[in-house]
Parts: sequence; structure tokens; C-alpha cells
Amino acid sequence: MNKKIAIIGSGNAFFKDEGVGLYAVKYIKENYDFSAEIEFVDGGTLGFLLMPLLQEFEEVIIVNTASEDGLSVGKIMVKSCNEFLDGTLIKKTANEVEIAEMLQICSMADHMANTTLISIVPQDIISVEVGLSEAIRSVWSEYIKTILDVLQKCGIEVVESKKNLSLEEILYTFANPSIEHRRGF
Amino acid sequence: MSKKHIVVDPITRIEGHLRIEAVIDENNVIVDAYSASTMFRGIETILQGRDPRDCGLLAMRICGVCTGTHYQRSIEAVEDAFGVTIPKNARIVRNLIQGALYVHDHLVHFYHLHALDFVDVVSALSADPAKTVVEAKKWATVAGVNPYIDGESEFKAIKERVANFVKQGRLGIFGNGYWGNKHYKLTPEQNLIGVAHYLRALDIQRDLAKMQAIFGGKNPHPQSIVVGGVTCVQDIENPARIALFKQLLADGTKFVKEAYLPDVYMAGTVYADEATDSKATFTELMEGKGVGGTGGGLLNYMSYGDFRLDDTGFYKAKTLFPSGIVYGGDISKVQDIDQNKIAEDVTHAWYEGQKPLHPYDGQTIPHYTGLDKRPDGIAYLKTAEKYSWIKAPIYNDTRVEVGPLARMVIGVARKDERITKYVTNFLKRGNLPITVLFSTVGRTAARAIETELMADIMVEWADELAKNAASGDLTTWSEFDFDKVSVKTKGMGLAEAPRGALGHWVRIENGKVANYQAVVPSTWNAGPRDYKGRMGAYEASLIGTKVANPEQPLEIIRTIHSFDPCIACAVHVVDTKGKELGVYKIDTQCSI
Repeated sequence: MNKKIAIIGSGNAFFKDEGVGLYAVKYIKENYDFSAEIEFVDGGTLGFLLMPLLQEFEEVIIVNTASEDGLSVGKIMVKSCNEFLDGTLIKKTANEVEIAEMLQICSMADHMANTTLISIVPQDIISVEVGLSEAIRSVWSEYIKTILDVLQKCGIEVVESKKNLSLEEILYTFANPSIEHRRGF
Repeated sequence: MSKKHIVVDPITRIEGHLRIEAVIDENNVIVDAYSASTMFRGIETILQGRDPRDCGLLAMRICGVCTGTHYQRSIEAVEDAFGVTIPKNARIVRNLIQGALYVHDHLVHFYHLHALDFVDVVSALSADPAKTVVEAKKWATVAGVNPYIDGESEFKAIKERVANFVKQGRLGIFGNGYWGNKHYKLTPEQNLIGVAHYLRALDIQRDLAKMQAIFGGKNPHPQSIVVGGVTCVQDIENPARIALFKQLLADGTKFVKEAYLPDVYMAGTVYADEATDSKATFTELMEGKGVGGTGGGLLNYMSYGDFRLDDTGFYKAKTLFPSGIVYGGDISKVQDIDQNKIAEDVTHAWYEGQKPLHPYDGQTIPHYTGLDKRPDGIAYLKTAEKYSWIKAPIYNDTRVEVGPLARMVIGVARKDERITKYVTNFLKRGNLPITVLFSTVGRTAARAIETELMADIMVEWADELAKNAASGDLTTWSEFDFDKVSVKTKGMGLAEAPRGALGHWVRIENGKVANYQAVVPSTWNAGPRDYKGRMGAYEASLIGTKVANPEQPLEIIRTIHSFDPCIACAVHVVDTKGKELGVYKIDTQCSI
């Protein structure tokens, strides 16, 4: 397969569960090998600056949070861009607002990537720290599997790389980025 | 007397974003306004105890647009603390990365976040494509160029494309407008021009984003800037990289000159009466002076200055944007900035604190006192007490506005040759007095003037970089002895972001960050009242504005948008009785 695929982790890495998409994309990047080249993107708090990715890639997967009252914490949803925009727009964090607006604007462009959003309902997006609540940790394996399934549906073969980097090690990287130690996304 | 209370509030949550409450009188004129951010951002605390060399990597996560600006500002605060002066190549590369961000950011702001406050998309569907060609030619001629789109068939195709969006129910972002509101003043043909450029700008911004990545390293977060310089020596060595930068810049500049500026003339002329309606200004009402027009606001403008043009170091080098402060719109006088006079006040912000503090001594101790839930079921800001998560920054015991307009005003007041030339040319071509700048429309025009200026000067910088590299100077980093310089020191990164004055202040002890504070542009502009009850820039800019239809507060949104607010937000509209009148969403960029 020669599809150009980008997977974007989106959210603020310092507001606990809001960073879950970023942590997950980094976790997958470190722990798996893939049959085709994948662009792993640290989307961070970016909104409109992500538009070029939507215009240049064939497939884009956005991994983020979706805070919705009435849905239980840890619920994982996979939606196409249209489903995401057509539904009740779930926008509690600043980043959720921007991502939705960015997608709306992009849908006016000549070319837009086939876009999938993998969203999880967070519990704590208020604490200023790198970390995950217990509720999110308890669905972590299922969450990672969901993302890998979406990648496989895009025609990518996925195998574990045996690096066995733990979630704690991933969180440490976000909490302690270092130029000297080349520790970053 | 029946005053109405308009609340502009986030849709989903109290931790939300920007909220505006306005009180209008019986003539629908805004007589009082409050700006509040209802979201806590205590990100500075996360920087304490860090290796100062890594602060940039953390600070860049503060914001979703100026990520690269926070990254650089943080690194420069540390360089200032260490007494490091970066080499010429590093200075130029940083200017190019930031300059590319300005052009990208201003263009996206105008077309994708602000244009629909002027352009009625639905009206464009009744435009005559042949007449649109004539109209486009007219405004391009005012700007002294040929129109970017000049073919009847192209306008026809765009009209059909928009009609298709409508038919398929795919209006997307266009679905939120108050189409048909009588405050939309453009003709159908003018609206079609606006929509056509909106769509074309989507492609242009993609290429402008690539420019940032040429020297910025990994996209989308730049990573090539480090304390002491930059790391992208291979991009400087390679003439093809600089050539690519210049090519992308040339394509973007063409759009800026042939579409962006003519569109600003078009909107500016149609709304010119408001830009000079000084009776509607805050200053007229509050102080009896009369300059500018609707949306003018404080009329105090401040710029820290930015884009060093020589290698003499921080706060000594000549800068593209001069620093200074102008009071009351009086450009015959300009004063120097003394950073010791910067303070943050929390009288009306949800933090603990007694008196205004300088950022070096700044505290961020949350003290949330909530909203006032009234019997009507609506929660109102407790405006007499604390009502925002944004602190109120003060300079020399006054409130000021920052941003592109402030930079242009300071440049003219400083008699800076380059800025004066661009501002004068713009006004002359449109036959406009300089006072039109002190308004909502003027704020938008100043951003466009700055975009053209930045696009032009980047060509000179790219050539300067190529020439320096060709001469054999490939130095990109200045060495320093970390253990020696980091024992006990402090520094500041005081410069400009696309939205205005941005400062990072850092205290360093024993190689670690002891205290860190950032005062961002939207703090200056969106801050609440201060300890003397004086308004912030957003608040002041709304006073005196007439709202044609209180259920569709288009005028409020247009003025707030003209600042390019850095706070994601959404809007509820209610009247004093708490009945919900309508919902409107403000489209914004980054968040802090």
C-alpha cells in the first residue's frame, strides 16, 4: 500500500487526561513496527496549523478526547469526519473546539484526507500535570487496540517491536522533555 | 429605562473559554461590557524546577497557534539570563521562522476566522459573475495591482461550488452565520469575491505553513531553536532550501498583495463610516476626546518591539518593529518601554493576591469564587468581584492594547521609515486619514499592512542569510558555560507574537527554574477590569457600539474578532430575563 498516512495525537499534554491522544500515539510509535511509512504527528494544542496535513495526506487519523455529558468516562468512539461533524459537537477543551472548526474549514478545500477520529471520554482535564486518571488507565489496552485496528483497516500491518516501552516511560518523556537527552515526541 | 444584558458565553462548560457580557441601552448601544475567560491555565507551575534549557519544549505547549513563538520566547528569556548573544545566522533563521508564522497566521485569521463577519456567504449566491470581475478589478486597482482572480468563468465555478455546498447541507463553518443580518453591507458581487478568496486562501496557507518547516525542523512544532542559537545548519548551507523558502514566499506574497489587501480596502471602504464615527468611541464617551471609530477602545498602544536587524544583542539591536507606548491615540508622542513598569493585577481575576505584581514576582494561586446564579436560571459574572481566569496586566498604571495595530501605531509614532512607508501607502491609496486605524476595521487593516510588510522584508532576510552562508560563515550557536551562568540569574524574553506583546520571565537558581511567568498578548487584550475598575482592551472596544439586532450580536463578535482572540470560545445570547435568544459560535485560534 502506498497510502500516505498520518496519525495525529491531539490535546494538551499537561492537562492530565487531555493528553491521552498524544500519549497513545507516542506509545504506538515506540512499541510497534509497521508495513508502510506512517507519519506520527505531535499535534499538541495545534488547531489550524494542522490543516496542511489534512490537505496533503490521503488518510489522517486524529486521536483526541471528546468530553460529552452522558457518556461514561473511558468510552472510545471511532468516527469518520462527517460523523464527527454531524453529531452533537463535543467540545469542552479548547483543543476540541479548534479541531472541530479546523475540520469544518478543511471540508471546503479541494482535497481533504479521508479522516477518522478516535476519541475517548476523559475524566480529569483540569489538573495541571502529565498523567492519566485511573478510569482511563483501566481502558488503556482496549484504547491502543482500537487505534491499531483502525491502522490495520487502512491496510497497514502492525507487529510489536519488542521495545516494551511502558505507559509510565511514555508519560515520563512528556513530563521531562530534554534537548540534551533527545527526549521528545 | 430598559437596559438589556447580553451574555456571550461558551456553550458546553464553565471551564470554557471566552465570555463577553454586555449591557445595551434602549437604543441598542453598548454601555457596559465585561470580558472573562472561564478556563484556568496554570501552566507556569509546570516549569518550576526544570533545566532552563528545556523550558522551550514545555512552553511551546502553552498555545495552539504561536507554539513556535512561545518556544522561542522561552529560549530567549534563558539566553537573556545567561547573557548569551546568538550568531547572525541564528538571528536571521529565527526571524524567518517567526516571519513565516506572522504571514500564515494573519492570512488564516482574516479569511478563515474573521472574513465571515463582513462577508455574507448566502448573498454571494445571487452575484453576477461578470459584474464580479469588474468589482474585483476595481478594488485591485485601489491597491495598485491586478486582481488575483480575474476570470468570469472562475467566479462562476466558485459560485456553483458554494451553491453545491448549500444544496448538500455541507455549509460547515458557513452554517453558523447570521446571513441576511442588515449589518452585512457588502454587495452580492463583493461577497462572491470574499468567498472566492476564502477558498483560495486554503491552498495558500498550506504553502505558507511549509515555509515555517524549512528552517523550523520537524513540522508542525518547530524544534530547531536551542539556547545559544539554532541547529539547522544543513538548511543554511544548502542554497536549495533558501530558494524553496523564497519561492513559497513569492507565491504567498502574490496572494497577499492581489487578494488580501484589495479585500481589506473593499471591506474598509464599505464600513468606512464606522471607522471614523468617533462619537461611538470609548474615549469620546469616557474622556470627551474624539479620534477613531467604532471598536477603537483604549487607544493606548504598546509594543515590546521585535525582529532584530543586527547582532548587538537583546534590547540593544535595532528592530523591525520598534518598542514603545502611545497614549490616547496621540501619535505625536511616544515613550520608551520600561519593563519594570509591567505588573499583573488580580482584583477581578480568580487568583489570590493583594496588589499588582511584576512578573518576576508573579504568583498563580487559583481562588475561584464562581458565578452569580440568578432566579432566571442564568449564571452571570460577579462583575463587582472576581470574574475571569485572565489576570489584568497593567503598564505604568494604565491599560493598553497590543497587536498588529499597536505595532503599526508605534512604528509611525517612532517615525520608523519602513513602517511609515507601508502605513502611508495604504492610507494614501485608499484616500483615508490615519485616524481610521483606531477602530475595528482599522485593527483589521493594520494586520493586513503588517502582513505585506513582513512578506516583503523576508525576501531581504533570506538573501542576507544566503549571502552570509556563501561567505563561509556557518556558525549557528554561541557557546556558554552552563554551570557558571546558571547559578543565580534572571532573564526575560520580551518581544512580539502575531497577536501582540509576549513576555516570558524566568528566575534561575542552581541550574533550575525558580520562578516562571508568561504574560501573553490575549492577557493584555482580554483581561478584566483592574484594581481601579479600569477596563481591558476588549471591554473598552465594545463601549458605544450599536448592536443592530441584540439577538444576533454580529457587531460584538466582529470587534472581538478584530483582535484575533487567542481564546477558543462559543457564545450564548440571552436577555436580562434569561430567555435564550440565540447561539453563536466565535471561531478562534489558540488558547491560554
